[in-house]
Amino acid sequence: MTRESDEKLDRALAAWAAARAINDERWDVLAQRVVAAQAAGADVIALSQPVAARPHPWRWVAALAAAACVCAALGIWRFGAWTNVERGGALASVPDPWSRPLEVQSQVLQEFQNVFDGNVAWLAAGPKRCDVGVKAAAASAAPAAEYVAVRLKLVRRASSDVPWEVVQVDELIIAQQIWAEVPSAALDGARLHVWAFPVDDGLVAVDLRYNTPALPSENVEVSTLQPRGEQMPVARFRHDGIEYLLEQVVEVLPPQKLG
Amino acid sequence: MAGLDRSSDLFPHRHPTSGWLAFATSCWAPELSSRDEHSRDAPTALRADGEFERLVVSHLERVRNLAYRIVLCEATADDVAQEVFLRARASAATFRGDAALSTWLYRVTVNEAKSQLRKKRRSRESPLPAEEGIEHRGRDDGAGRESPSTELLQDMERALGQLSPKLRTAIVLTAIEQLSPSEAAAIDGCSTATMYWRIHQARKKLKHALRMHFES
Repeated sequence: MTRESDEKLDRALAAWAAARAINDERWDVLAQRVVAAQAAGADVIALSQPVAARPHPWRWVAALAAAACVCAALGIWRFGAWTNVERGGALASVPDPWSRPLEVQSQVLQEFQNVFDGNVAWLAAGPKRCDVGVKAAAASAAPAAEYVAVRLKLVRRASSDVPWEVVQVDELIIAQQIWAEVPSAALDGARLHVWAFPVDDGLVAVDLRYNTPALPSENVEVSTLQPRGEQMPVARFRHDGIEYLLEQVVEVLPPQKLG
Repeated sequence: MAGLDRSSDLFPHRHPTSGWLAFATSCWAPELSSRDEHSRDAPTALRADGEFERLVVSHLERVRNLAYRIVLCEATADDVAQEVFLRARASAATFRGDAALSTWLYRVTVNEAKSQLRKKRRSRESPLPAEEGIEHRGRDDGAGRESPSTELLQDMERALGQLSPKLRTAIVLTAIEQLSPSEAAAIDGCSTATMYWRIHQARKKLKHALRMHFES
């Protein structure tokens, strides 16, 4: 389905590019203009930065001062609001295993696919309950072949001297390119909005909106592109003096055999 | 102009067979050359009589089309194209021989187009409007393919105009110019992973903007 829509988009882009290509008349005019500019402008090129037009030295000083202010402001703001991934920052822990092996999750998904005629949009299985989302009728004609498993772990600590404490762990399976609203199986009232799409080179793109009653006033919205199987911090923030870290792991499940 | 004819032999492409020009040509990577038989022109020869005109004849169409696809304005695209060729001439001596000329021109064009967009933003002009009155023109008019509606083409231009320059450049370089993500990343000066991400985001936004056309 994605490939089909990509092909449609590519065809439309190619048609637009062809329709907007320079025509012969404009090419002639532009070619004359370029050559004339070059012929008249051997000196113009050398004078493209005339002395009078150069920025006055005080402008450089002002620019540097402004840059310093921006850096300082960013540094202060950094711990007062949600921040996106701090790539290269230390992970809270070593990558955790999935609560159920991916092969088992894939088998569970397969069972639900059989029940719902291949229309499963997402699957969130917790220790005590399992929620299933089914695609709308309009989209059910072409079930997605690929599903992405997403694991989200929220941890916190009061200071850097103490170990991280797990607040909430959510694992879900989602069909690619479906914007799904998934209730958390780990914590009542928490909701995850997830969209995932495997791209080339073993990378997976994920859009995430994360709300949890553990932090009612906070709202995470992040877009990430991350390698399969690697645990990555996607948001780090401070709330009431407690440092929080949200980590994410994604994995692509093998294509489903329907029927 | 009588001296410039892209369809005539007034500026026959000359492949060097000996001397320093042949050596320099042999050092250039073959990347992109399959898409552009003129990509092995020697920029260091631009100062010689006729070489500049030959470069213009060979590459103006591609440079100007790429510029338009990024800036989405005819007049600005013309300005970008002119500036690209003048820069090419001025900086021919600094051209590094480890990249094909077409790659080099792509990079200069992308940078100049983005520079023009930044200038326009700084001058507080309104966003570049989508050009009206799209009609099929140019050499490749899509013959043999299913012809999309004029409405789709206009909506496409509008949707492209709503993308950021980075996302627009990514989708133009890969989906239209048919470069690989790694080639596009090298031209745009970002990592391959970043380029994948930009392509993905651009596709997502375009599909959303054009969903009325694609859902039917």
